[in-house]
Amino acid sequence: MTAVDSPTAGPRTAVLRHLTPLIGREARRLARHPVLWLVPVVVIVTTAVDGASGGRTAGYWYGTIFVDVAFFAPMFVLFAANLVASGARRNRAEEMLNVTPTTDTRRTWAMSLGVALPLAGTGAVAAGAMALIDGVNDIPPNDLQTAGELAQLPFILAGAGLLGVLAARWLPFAGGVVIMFIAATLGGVVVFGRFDAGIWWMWWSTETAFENRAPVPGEPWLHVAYLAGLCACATVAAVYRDRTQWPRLALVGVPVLAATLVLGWLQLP
Amino acid sequence: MTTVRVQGATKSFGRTRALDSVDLEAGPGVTGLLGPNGAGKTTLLRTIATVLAPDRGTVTLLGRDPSRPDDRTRIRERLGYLPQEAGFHRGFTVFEFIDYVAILKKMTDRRPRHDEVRRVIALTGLVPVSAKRIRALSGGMRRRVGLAQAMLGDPDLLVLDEPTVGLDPEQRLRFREMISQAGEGRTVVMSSHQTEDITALCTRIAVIHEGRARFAGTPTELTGQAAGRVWTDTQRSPAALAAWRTGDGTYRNVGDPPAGAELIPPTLEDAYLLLVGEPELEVTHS
Repeated sequence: MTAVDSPTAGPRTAVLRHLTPLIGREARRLARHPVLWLVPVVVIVTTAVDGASGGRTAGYWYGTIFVDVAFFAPMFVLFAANLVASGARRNRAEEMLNVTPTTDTRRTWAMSLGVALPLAGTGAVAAGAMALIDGVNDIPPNDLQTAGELAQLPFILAGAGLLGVLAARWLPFAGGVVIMFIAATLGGVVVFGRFDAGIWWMWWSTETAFENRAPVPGEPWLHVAYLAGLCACATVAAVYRDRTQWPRLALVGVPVLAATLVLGWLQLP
Repeated sequence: MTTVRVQGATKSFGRTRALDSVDLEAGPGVTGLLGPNGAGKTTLLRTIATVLAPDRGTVTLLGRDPSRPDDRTRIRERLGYLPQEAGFHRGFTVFEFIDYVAILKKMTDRRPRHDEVRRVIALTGLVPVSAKRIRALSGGMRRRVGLAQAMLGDPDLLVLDEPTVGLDPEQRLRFREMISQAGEGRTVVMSSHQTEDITALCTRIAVIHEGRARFAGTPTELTGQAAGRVWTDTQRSPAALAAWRTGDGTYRNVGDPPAGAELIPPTLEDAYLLLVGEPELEVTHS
């Protein structure tokens, strides 16, 4: 008897059947990570101490959901996803887990999807909640997000998670994720610094002013595509991290990166 | 039938040669690796477990070549491995962790997978703690979790590095029973510092010392090498390579006996001491 269930379906179906429970396990590990639990704590604390000068109206909750999902959550998600993805290394479980028929590449696929899918789902739920609030209450036009702006939320959350996985793969040492965080932050500051709004660190592009700043005027739907491209870049770089996979990293990664850069250029006004 | 064939395996880490042209063959039954710390046992076991590839020499496992990626995956489908320092996702419960490894071993169907997880949990006596988080377990219990995951799917080749470390005497007896059963029809390669475990379990032994295989054969053959070289005396003999006082007050001496010495039957441990003959052991009679 061997460890493997006898495959009766085609190879692609067999891979999916194998990856699905693994994706579920990785998603569960992320959902249970204590760092992620800090997000609701932060939301509760910030909303409690917030004066809400105009009252806790529909507009207040509309803005609160947006800020929490687009600003606070990605920071916690980045660290939580990194800790989950680096768990085997930190717990010295790698040797035991590596000697299984699931290759490092497939495990990273499962990890990336297990992190990205639930986060994207959460972002979509948040966007849906904002649309619902807007549907039953009139949100002031100044605060209203367009569909293209709301569509960025799933990619912002998923992207932060994938960045955490990427850091676990390429910077496999204590503090690696902090380096990634600082690099991403400085990168954002530098990019946003090129615009009239001045230096302003934000994870999203929107027409809506936040704290009297509108970070980047641009094309929201193209920005959505750009964010999707960044997610794809992070996934490909994480999955094909192993030295033996570098030819594949170049083969798949270069076109994905090129497409992402083109989208990044096109989104600009 | 040979399940494991290592021929001329050499492996270096920097300037340290961990394995030096080691040959080893193992088939169904339990094969034990004996050797002092730093002898190369773990490197050899990691090579057999497909963790490391030798710098030189060939390794054939279950009839396949682990240096080929496809073969390596096929080997791993039939391999169970307990590393010397087994780490775990400590936030998982025992059941969750073993289930996680079962998924990695491509057991995709939930119900049979859970049945298999319950089987190995019962086999390793982990039922009372199966819902406990691994971080809350003692070292011995964690060792058993490691054993349980290695035994998932009844692998054809089981590689165990120091499996009895941290186990209490009762757990060790239970472990022997388990390994003995696993060795019936399957190949088990294990290392241990406990010569009692090796004597009790192994059909074949290899003694590794300074990266070389110094002996390969049956426990009886190894023990036989010490015949006529173990004796008792009322005092520590200067001729002994190693000597220690036993419970009845006499000294058990191992080495080249003086004329007229009272020879006694050797044990595997005596033979092992004679074979590796560490200089520090000589300190015992200085």
